[in-house]
Amino acid sequence: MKNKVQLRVVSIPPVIWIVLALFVLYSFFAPGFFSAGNLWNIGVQAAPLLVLAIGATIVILTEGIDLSCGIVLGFAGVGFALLAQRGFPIWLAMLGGILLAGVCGLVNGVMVACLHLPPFIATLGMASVITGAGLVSTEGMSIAVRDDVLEFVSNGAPLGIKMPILIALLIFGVVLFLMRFTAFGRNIYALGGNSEALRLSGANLTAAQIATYTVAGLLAGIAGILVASRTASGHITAGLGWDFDAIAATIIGGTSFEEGKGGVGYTILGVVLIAVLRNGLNVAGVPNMYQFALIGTVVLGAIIFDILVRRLSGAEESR
Amino acid sequence: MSEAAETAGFLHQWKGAGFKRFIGPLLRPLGLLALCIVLSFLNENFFTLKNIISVLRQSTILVVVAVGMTVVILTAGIDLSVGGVMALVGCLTSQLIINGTPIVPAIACGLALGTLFGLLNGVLVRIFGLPPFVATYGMMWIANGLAMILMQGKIIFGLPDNFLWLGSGYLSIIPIPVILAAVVAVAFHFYLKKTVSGQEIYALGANREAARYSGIKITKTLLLVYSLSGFTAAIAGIIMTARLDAAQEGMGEPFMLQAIAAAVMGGSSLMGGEGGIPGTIIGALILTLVVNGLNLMGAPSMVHPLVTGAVILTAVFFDVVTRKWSD
Repeated sequence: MKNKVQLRVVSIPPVIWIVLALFVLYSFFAPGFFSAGNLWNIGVQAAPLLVLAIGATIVILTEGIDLSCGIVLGFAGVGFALLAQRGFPIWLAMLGGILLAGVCGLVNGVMVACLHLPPFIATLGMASVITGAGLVSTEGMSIAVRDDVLEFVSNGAPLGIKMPILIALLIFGVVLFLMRFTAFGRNIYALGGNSEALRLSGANLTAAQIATYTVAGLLAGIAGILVASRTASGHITAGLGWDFDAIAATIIGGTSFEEGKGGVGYTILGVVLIAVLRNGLNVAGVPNMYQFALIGTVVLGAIIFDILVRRLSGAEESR
Repeated sequence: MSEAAETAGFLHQWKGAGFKRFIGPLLRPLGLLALCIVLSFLNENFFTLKNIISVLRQSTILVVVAVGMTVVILTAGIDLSVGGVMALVGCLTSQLIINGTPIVPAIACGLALGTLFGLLNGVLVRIFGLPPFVATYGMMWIANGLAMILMQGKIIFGLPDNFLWLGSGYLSIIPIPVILAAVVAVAFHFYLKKTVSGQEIYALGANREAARYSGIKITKTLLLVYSLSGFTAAIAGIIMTARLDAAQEGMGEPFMLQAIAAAVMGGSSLMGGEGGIPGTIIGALILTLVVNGLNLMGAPSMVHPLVTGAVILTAVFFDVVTRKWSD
């Protein structure tokens, strides 16, 4: 009985402790952090990252990785901006950007599932190719878009909640449903946990893997449209470094690279951590150039902390 | 096993081994030669001594990073931090020199910092058990971020001639960077092939369990391997700074993917245990020539990432396919 209580204490995800620690720190060093306006702000800033990180999580659950998602995010924005510039209706342009990202994901999936390239190199190569394509098609410039719809998507609040948050939560719910109740989700868990059993049960492994990367691409595309709406422009480097944030959010949330353990539900905790961290630094007035190193250190530190806690609790359980 | 099955197995094995032993190694030098011939049509001066030396000089930075990358890849690892480390070391060294530190201690500091970053990579991978691409990717952002802080958005130039000599000097007709790269490459080749420690790296990459049972100290070897990669990235960063006479955050970025591409094109398998320095040098030369050819054709530099990406994907694809044939 006593043992059980102990286990429950340990199994609070370490990420929650870290977020609480950040709250305490910021209440001292970042006056205004706890204002309602700023808390909404955190939500709006976190929305695209959540969408992106959901994609990263489902890929990592299959023991894969998508290092291209940050660049794909920017590429979707570029595609959207170029289409809008050429006079396409704005919704169609958005759809075009998202589909473009989906195609990138599809290619990733084909390279991993059919051609058997290691995921990190396939997606890294893809990121390089897309960077080149994006630079050439925009000549390295930022493509501006003007439309009232953008204002609505980035700042509207139809139900009292800002649109980006609403969209992100909607997607979160949809993916959570897919993971829980459909073959799509079952296959993803099985791909990571026991792909042999999945194969013997007659599922099409290749198709499942391709579907995973394609969905991750589509999600990166949606995140890209959210970012492009906020900045009212498309630029290929808009998502530079976001892939790291997305992967970090996934790992901090507790999704493991090896056993098909974890899930989309946990990733939201990691996203909250990173969003709080970034926002607090901004509110505290830390210049942007200091943030890269700081956030990288904190994220790696959080991952290490997480691993250590798991190891300790694991050692206790096995004892 | 029946005799027939044994023979079939033997034949099959021979076919695999034969491909690996006779055709595989020839493929890359022939590819390099074919590329040279194509380029000689694009540029009539291609086969002049001057141009060949110039191509060699262009390839030096890549060769040095890729040598360290190869060692990491031999252990089935990867080092995505090399670009960030190159930039950070270049920025730190030039910052020190500009602020009046003598050149040799400044370079020593840069090399030490690079090695430290490598060591940290090793610690993250081995002690904390992070997947190599996650650990080194995180370190890349940290290195880039530190370089940003160090530079405060500025570019450093106007370094002293003694330092620039490392990047643009000549010993009779041979450029100094080429000599440096050759020394690094030869040293690493002999280390990998002729020392026990080097052979342990191959063994560890080929089969980690077997290596552990045969008494190889895995932790020590992995820490060493990642440190070496940080060290070579630091050398490359210093050569780059000396050649450009400038240091800027983000300047090492393209080299991360190019170094992996060079190693893989040179026959190092991402699964570990296979490959070596000579192949990597050929890979680096091919990549340099491809970029050289693009410039000759007047392609804008924005195309480079596209081509590098396509080249690496093709190279890894062929690696995977040939490995399947030879098994």
